[in-house]
Amino acid sequence: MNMSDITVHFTSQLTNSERRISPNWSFEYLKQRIENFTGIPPNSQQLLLFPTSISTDPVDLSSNDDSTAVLDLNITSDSRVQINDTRPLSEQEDLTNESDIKYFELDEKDYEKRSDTVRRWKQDNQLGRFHPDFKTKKKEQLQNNKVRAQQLCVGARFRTINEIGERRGVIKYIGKVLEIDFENIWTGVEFDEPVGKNDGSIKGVRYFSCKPGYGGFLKPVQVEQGDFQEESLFSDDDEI
Amino acid sequence: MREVISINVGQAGCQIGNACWELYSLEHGIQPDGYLQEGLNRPKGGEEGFSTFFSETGSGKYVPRALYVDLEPNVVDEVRTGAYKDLFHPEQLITGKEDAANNYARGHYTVGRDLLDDVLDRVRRMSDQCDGLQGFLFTHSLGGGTGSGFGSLLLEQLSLEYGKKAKLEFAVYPGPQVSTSVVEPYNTVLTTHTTLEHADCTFMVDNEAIYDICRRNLDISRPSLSNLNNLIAQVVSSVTASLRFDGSLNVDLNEFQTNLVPYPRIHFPLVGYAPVVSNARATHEANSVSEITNACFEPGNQMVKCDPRLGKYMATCLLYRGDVVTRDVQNAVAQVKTKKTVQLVDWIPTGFKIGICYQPPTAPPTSNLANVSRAVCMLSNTTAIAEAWRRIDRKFDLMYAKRAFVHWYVGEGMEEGEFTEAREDLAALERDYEEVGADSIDPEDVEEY
Repeated sequence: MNMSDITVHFTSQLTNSERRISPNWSFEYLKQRIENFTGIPPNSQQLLLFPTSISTDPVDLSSNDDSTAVLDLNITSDSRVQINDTRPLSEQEDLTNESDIKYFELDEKDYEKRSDTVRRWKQDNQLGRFHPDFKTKKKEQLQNNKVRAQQLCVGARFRTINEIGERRGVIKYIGKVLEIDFENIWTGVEFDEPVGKNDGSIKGVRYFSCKPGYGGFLKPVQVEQGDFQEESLFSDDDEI
Repeated sequence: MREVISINVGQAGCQIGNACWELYSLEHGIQPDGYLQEGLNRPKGGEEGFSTFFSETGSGKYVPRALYVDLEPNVVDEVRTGAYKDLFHPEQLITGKEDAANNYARGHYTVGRDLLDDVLDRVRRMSDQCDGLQGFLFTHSLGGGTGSGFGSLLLEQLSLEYGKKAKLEFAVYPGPQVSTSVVEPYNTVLTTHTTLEHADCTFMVDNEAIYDICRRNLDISRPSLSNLNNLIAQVVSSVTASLRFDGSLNVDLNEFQTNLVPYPRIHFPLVGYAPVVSNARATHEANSVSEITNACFEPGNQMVKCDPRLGKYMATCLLYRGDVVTRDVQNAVAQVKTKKTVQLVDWIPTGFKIGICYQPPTAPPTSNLANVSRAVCMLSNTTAIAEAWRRIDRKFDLMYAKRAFVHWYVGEGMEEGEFTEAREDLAALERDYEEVGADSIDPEDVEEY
């Protein structure tokens, strides 16, 4: 007779899953199945059975004979089975170590060569930067930013408003930031409060100095220069 | 008539299929035996939409237009003997004898190949019963052997045989932290490569994201797969509601692609759903149209872990169900559009498409979910989802650098070159997403470093 499957929680160093096993299986077959998802060969598996989800004292199943039926292992749908790899560390493959991994990078040339890419689509249909007007618009924008930058001066107070709200501080730097891009003029600022992203340096290059989290780089068009004093905790427009 | 055939492949696919068909049956007033609930003389939601998903036999019995396919018998055996055993015709439940052992190559080349003709035959017979087949709806996992290997084999074949018919997928994507198997990254990369040109639109759900939603919103301390699948079913039901219910601006299966996919490869919309509330909490939450609309844009209510605030949107569909008036929806959408966190790609036309289905969602008695008067499902094509590809690609690299477990695949007759070919294709996909996000000339672009 076919007994219905048991749904069991399996854990190993690299995996965690809910799986169905059949009480009719042999212990040997169970271990084969376990290899498929844990990657641990049957003869290197130590199987620890935690009878219920709150058990702390596991039963070691490993000494069971290969022909033992799963039914006789007393695994229930409330159980967890932990699988350990008994091989010495030197023989196990370390599949989590990222230190000497070179992640696959697609060559620019190889991407260009492919016929079914978004870039090809943009080129063929004159979209994005392949649109004839793109360069003019981009230039215009750069120009706006430049004009705006010329109206700003280092040392002046400013504010900037976005979806998070208003932030105030002092302008510390005006100029290119090659770590961001090669074309734009940027404004390096020190906020009055830790609402920034850095300490005046970006990717290891320092443009000005302030406490970590108080510094940031904004587009000049986002910066409104003026007599915006530091807001005290009890300013007039705060509701009490 | 515009019929849709659902095909559930592999353990995850079949179990999600179970949750979906249980829910569809409840929503339309069909009993587990396929007959109408007492007191009904026609299915709920109207005959026309309904018949896209169910066929009617002469005797007043309704049968899902669905196929269950698994390489091993056990999961489908539970359908054969379970509460819904009479809902399906035995021919709709196809199983082999030997499973794919978590191995794409077994599902795609060896064990799966043997079952293919049988499955294609059943699909043919089922499509012969349709007046105007719209297309197929797949559910499968990307990480398992049958779901990834056989799922992609079947999609390829359907592409050959049914040409332009729409093929949509709901695909279980591996969670970012917890792997269910060591070879999950291989299976995912291989199946994605194979199906990239065959699927028109793929909605991904990651079990970890769903797990967190169940814990947080439903107060289930250790959610089981069946808890997760119930929630996934709600999402699938929301997406298909417009096809199944009359009166909702009858959406075509093709429309998902038309509205969401600007370029064929970029076909993985991010799915959000709100509200997810437990019975215990339901009475304390108002869930106005504006609240649920805002909620479905929050990372915590999304089916794949990624941060849409870091990406750009190409298109969004908002599918409302239940007690919803158009004016409220328009206001809510206008509100969303003003958010600086919702940034749009500015060199292609982007849009918000709205769908309203007046049938409220149904909570199955066993699901922990509360009955709510309205819900919304967000489908957003955003470049943020590239994060999910990057993640799985790197896991692939970690293993492939050591050629770990590659012999399991080669042993099933797969060529090692397929690994590198697939990985390259996925790298190109990542690059494609970068290209979509590039070239902004929006003056409102608020970059800050």
